[in-house]
Amino acid sequence: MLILGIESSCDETGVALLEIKGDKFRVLANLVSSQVNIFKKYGGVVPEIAARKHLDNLLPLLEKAMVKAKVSPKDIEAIGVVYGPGLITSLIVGIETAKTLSLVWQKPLIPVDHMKAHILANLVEGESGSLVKIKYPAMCLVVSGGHTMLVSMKDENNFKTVGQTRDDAVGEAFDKVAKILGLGYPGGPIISEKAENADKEFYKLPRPMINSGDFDFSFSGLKTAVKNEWEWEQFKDKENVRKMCASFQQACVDVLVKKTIEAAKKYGVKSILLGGGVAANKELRKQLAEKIDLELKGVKFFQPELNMTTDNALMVAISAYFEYKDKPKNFYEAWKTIKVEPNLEL
Amino acid sequence: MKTIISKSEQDTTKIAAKIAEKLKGGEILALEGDLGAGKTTFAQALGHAFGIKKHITSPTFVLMKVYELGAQSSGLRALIHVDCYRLDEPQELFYLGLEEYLNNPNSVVVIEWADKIKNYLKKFKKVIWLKIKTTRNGREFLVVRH
Ligand SMILES: Nc1ncnc2c1ncn2[C@@H]1O[C@H](COP(=O)(O)OP(=O)(O)O)[C@@H](O)[C@H]1O
Ligand SMILES: [Mg+2]
Repeated sequence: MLILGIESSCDETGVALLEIKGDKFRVLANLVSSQVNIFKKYGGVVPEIAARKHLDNLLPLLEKAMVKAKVSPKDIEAIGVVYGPGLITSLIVGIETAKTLSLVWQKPLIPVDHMKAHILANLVEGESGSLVKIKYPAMCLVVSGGHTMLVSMKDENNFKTVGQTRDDAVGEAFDKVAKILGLGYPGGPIISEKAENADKEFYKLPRPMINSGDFDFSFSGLKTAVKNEWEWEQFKDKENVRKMCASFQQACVDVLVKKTIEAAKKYGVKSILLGGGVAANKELRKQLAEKIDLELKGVKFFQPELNMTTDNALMVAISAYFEYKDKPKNFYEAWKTIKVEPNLEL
Repeated sequence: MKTIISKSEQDTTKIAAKIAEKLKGGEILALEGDLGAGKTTFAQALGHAFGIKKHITSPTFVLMKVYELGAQSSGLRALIHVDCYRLDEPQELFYLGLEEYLNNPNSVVVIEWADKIKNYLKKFKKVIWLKIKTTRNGREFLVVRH
């Protein structure tokens, strides 16, 4: 079956066409149009402009995807769209477009949780082949600008949050620390680049909640600790910026890795999955892989391909497929009831 | 104008509880203070005082979070937590649907980085400014009513 996926939850507009037969898949199109550059200037976001850009981009992108995939509406079996969490003004564009398509084309419409999509991004590798086989139960670490959470997973449709940040998300902490150090936006890639080969023990930073015994996180104290250290630092030169980036990144990685391993042990999982925008962080990927190898014999580690860590519609299409395949009837009239949920919780 | 010292997060909890007692609905709590000043901490404490059980997390990324309140003796129904950190234009709040809650007797709105939208807030009546300063031994809250 052919699934159309639509993503517009933040500042990326995405359209994907995914064909699935049994456990075989083929990506017919996966297009993304990013607005990150528009907002780079401020490190900010302009919701109304973001919405207008989504409006400008979405239908042309859809047309391009369908031409590229050589498909017409009749070939599409169902439409999946993100309904939350995200920015209300951005989400609405994707939702309303998808509803209209659903009605006009008479296709089922599947609402997709953006965070689930980040997790299921692990199932598609490359342009075609077999869906990645994951042994369940699994523990997922989902890290992004707005989220930091540990999610236990029984199968592709069963998720339960077992821990999350109590204040700032880890991606947000990266952005704010970059701002403190005068490095620009977005902070994730800049900090990890500066941190390369720099001394990560130079600044003594806290590992908030590392021994809290639960699976919650906290990054606001770490952000504040960086700010204090930096105010005291007399030599704010390039070398020290790099050392601060490395020290900060390591503090984040330490907490994320330790809690993931603990959660995996407690829930006796067979797999660990990484997902979300911060899943692109090289040190996190590397150190988590090493630790799993060392401490969790037999547990398999999955990390999404780099282009699947940022927001995209392919992960939406694959999520929609799993929601839809066993109970298609649930989605025939869904366009009538689907609503945007900016604060959706898994 | 009044200055309150908060030496710890516990102190902030008490300050927030005292302020919460006086809120009847329709107020805007405008928070001002640098990164790490404790704006989110204050909003959390306020939510706690209102009996919100959910974790109140930083709204920086989604700009606005809405927390429904359980049964309250007053007409208060919701706490709206806003963050202007990533915002460039005040009128943008309009597009997020915030105006529905500002000046609404059923909600209290708490805004981080409110100084970025100072002019916009002038048209509302019940604005309480809380300027948070980091000092050697904690935080100083400067309360100004407009
Ligand atoms: N009154 C206080 N005294 C001491 N530390 C505080 C106080 N209020 C907040 N903090 C600490 O400051 C840090 C940053 O707080 P946060 O609320 O995230 O700041 P902001 O939202 O202003 O950026 C947290 O680690 C918090 O525990
Ligand atoms: Mg904050």
